[in-house]
Amino acid sequence: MIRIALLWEDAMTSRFDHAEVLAALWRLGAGEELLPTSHGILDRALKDCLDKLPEMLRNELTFGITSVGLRCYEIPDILLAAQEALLTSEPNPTYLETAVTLNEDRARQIVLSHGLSTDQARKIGRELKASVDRIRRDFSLDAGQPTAA
Amino acid sequence: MRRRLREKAPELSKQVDALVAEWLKPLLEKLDAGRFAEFRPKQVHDPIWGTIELLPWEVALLDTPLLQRMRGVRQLGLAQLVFPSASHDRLEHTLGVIGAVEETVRALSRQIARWNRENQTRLVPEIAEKDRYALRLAALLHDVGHGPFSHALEPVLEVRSPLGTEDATHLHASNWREDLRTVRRELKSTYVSLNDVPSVSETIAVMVVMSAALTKVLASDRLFTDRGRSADEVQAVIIAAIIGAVEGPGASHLSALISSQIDADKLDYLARDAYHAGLEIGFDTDRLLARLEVHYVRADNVDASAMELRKRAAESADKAFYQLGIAASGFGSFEQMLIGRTFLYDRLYHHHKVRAAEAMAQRLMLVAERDRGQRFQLSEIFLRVGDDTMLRLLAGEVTHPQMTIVHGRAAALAHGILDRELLHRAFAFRGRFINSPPGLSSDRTNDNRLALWSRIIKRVDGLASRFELGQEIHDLAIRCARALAAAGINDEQMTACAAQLEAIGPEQVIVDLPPLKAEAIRILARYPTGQLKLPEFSFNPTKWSAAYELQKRTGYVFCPCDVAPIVAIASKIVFLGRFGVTMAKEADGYIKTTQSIDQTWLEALVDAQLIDTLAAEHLSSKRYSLLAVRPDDLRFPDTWIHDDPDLAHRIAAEIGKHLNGGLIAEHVAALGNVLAALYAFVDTWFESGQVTRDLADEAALQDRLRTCFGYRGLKTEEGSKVGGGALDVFVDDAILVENKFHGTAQTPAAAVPAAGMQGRRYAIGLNSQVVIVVLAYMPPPGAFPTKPQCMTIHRVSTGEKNRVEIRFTLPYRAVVPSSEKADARG
Repeated sequence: MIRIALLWEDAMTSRFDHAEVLAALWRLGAGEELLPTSHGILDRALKDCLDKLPEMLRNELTFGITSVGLRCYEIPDILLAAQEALLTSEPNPTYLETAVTLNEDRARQIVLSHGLSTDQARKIGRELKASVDRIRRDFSLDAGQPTAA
Repeated sequence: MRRRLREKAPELSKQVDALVAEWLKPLLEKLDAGRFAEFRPKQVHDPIWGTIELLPWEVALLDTPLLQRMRGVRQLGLAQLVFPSASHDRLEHTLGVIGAVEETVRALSRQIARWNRENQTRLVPEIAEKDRYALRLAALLHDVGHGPFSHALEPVLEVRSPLGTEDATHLHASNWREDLRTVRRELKSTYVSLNDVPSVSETIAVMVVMSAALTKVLASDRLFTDRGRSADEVQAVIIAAIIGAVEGPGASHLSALISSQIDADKLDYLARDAYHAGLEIGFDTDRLLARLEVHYVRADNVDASAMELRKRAAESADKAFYQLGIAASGFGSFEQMLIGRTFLYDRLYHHHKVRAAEAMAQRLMLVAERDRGQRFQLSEIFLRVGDDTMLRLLAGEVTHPQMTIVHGRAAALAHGILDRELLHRAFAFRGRFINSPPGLSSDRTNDNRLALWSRIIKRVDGLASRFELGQEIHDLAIRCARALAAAGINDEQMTACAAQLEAIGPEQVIVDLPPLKAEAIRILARYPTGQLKLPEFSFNPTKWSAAYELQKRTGYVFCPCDVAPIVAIASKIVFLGRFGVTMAKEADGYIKTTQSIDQTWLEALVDAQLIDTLAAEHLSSKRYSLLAVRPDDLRFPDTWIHDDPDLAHRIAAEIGKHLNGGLIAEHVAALGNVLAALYAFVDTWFESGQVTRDLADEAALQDRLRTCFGYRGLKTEEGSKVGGGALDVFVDDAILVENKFHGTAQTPAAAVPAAGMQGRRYAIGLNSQVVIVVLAYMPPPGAFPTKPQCMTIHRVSTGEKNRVEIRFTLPYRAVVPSSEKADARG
């Protein structure tokens, strides 16, 4: 039998790692609040908090102006990865936002694995949540609004 | 831009230049010779768009290998093996996109004319002929970055390092793949506004458009008699259209016609793929086109959520700019398009046989590179041959002077595709199939499923790690077949099975999970009030599509039909051993092997020491997944947590890192009991002054441990049978505790390796996954740990992957610093 050695370089971090860290930060900072997934709200909040994000996420995210305004190019993939990994609830038809299914214990283990203490992660998550709230106010978008995409 | 991008990607530029120069050589010779009379307009008849008229310069490019190469590159990769009539190629699609551009331009022109009739004060510019010509050229060239097997090849091009032999440094010589990444990054930073990061095939297409030869063709004024703008401008417009740029060099509102959420590319492939596959998706192209519009974007009519567009409008010459969008009344057609696309993915692109064929093609390319000991150059992948010829080349049936193929295992995969002997499904996996132990709360069940599934999904993300997992399954399948043959179970069949597995190698055991494409709305809608904002769906089709695909998305282990039963067993064992999961019976409905594993087979595998009895139980009667160890399971005392609030979570995470899946429920409970006893033991150790006193020997340590376990009512027995050490203790029939005695140690965490697992017999077992080492040592002067610092987590010293060592390092005869004395005295 031929043994085959693998010479792939393992990617430093995968989209699943990014999804895990993002979901964990949100869970620790925003508790049961829903994570926004539309209108570029999360994209803008991430840009606002970019300097405070853990390095593995900060180095990965890039932003640009699209036909619908500012967007983070990696967010669609990261949110899809979060769904694939069951870290967020299944999309409802309007899907303005999603519930993070990750519990606090698991969220803490994830951030600790990436070198953040729970307190540090909670602080970042709270800043992200505050940024989301501010952007929502600026846009006058109500999270419960039933008709937005 | 052209010069900068080419300088940033020298190897890719060099290879693309050489390729395109060869492809365009006949045309350049004609141009040089002044044979322009040969370029006449043509008409082609198309089942989707009717008659498509081609302009002379389009015909000139079409009649070169640059585009004729696409004739045998099938639009749907290997789907024609399942949908026989879906054998249309990229050339047909390319011409179709020109037809779609024409229809779209006509529809938009009608919209613009109507708007201008009704709004005399602000006229929308009509689509100029020069724009139409440039868009048609972009349509003609938009897919030239596709290689054989179409989209199936893209993940192969993104694999950084190849499958290889142990000495494979020479395989890394080619760096055009790295250049591809560079160009993608550069394109992203070059354009002020871009809807998405260009794909691999779009990036190659951009490099083709920028190649020296095509630049020279585009510069020919005698060929492009009606260009209407400079050759450089045309080139920039084509590139912007191919990557769907919104603002930047060559970009305009019309770029979106080639690459955007509603573009000519999609309009063609949705209709064409459904037509050729014989699938009805009910997509109303005419209605959708009738609702496309050129929006006049001003700061006061665009929604606040697109504030950058307000800014752009405010900074524009007329305080406004144009952008392609949709009327709110077109939502129904837009939804229909997106949903139709989802059904096409489900029925056509993700059909399990199509997946098997594409997974074989991807594996084949990687194995062929490994077999010949050299990565493919771009010129070999973009050889001027169709998919079938590429397969025959890789099968060794034919040769090509520009491609070196060494006969190896790739040939069998190529023959398998050519003869339609596709791999079969032996094992199915999905997050929702993960079976949980009974009696758990619904929250615990979901949390555990999430924890276990995240390990699987990360592991199978990428062709490289899938190969490694398939290899593990293959190797175990051989051992299983041999064990069953040795036990006299279907011995002839099993012997043949083992021989066949040896012959096919791990290359034909393929773990596969279909890729999903992340979608997001990138188009604005005009509402009756005149406001421009994101489409307000009461039902979001992109999100619905993602949910639909995720719900149905199932991973498979593919293998040849004859070995499927044994690969199925090996897959189940590997998934239990590596990820701690068993799949519910529901998963069996997706494969064509026996529903459950015969008990006599399991007994034979236990006798052959391939699995232990616990693993056998979990593969048959229990069929439960393992439980990931949670912080609460570790039962830390509050006093320990008080000083370090993250202690339990950090230790749980570290244990999780070493245990592939988790522990069986009984072992989780036993671990908690033993740890609780040990925390009390450590407390007593510190509080009784043992830290500063001498300790006679290892036996003295064990006496104390046994006493501690006894106080707690834990059952202990001599651990020598399990761990091999005379002074080991086996607690609660589950956890092995070794005690060690050591002199002075600077780093007690690494002082003495655990021995408990050295005698472990089974390839995959669920017994004895945790060993606890209690080590007494003399700390050097000045080193004095806190209680939590006494506890460390390690991989078991034998290097096995599914075992964890929890170590308690307890100081004795220590010189306690004055500040610590109060604590040490308790």
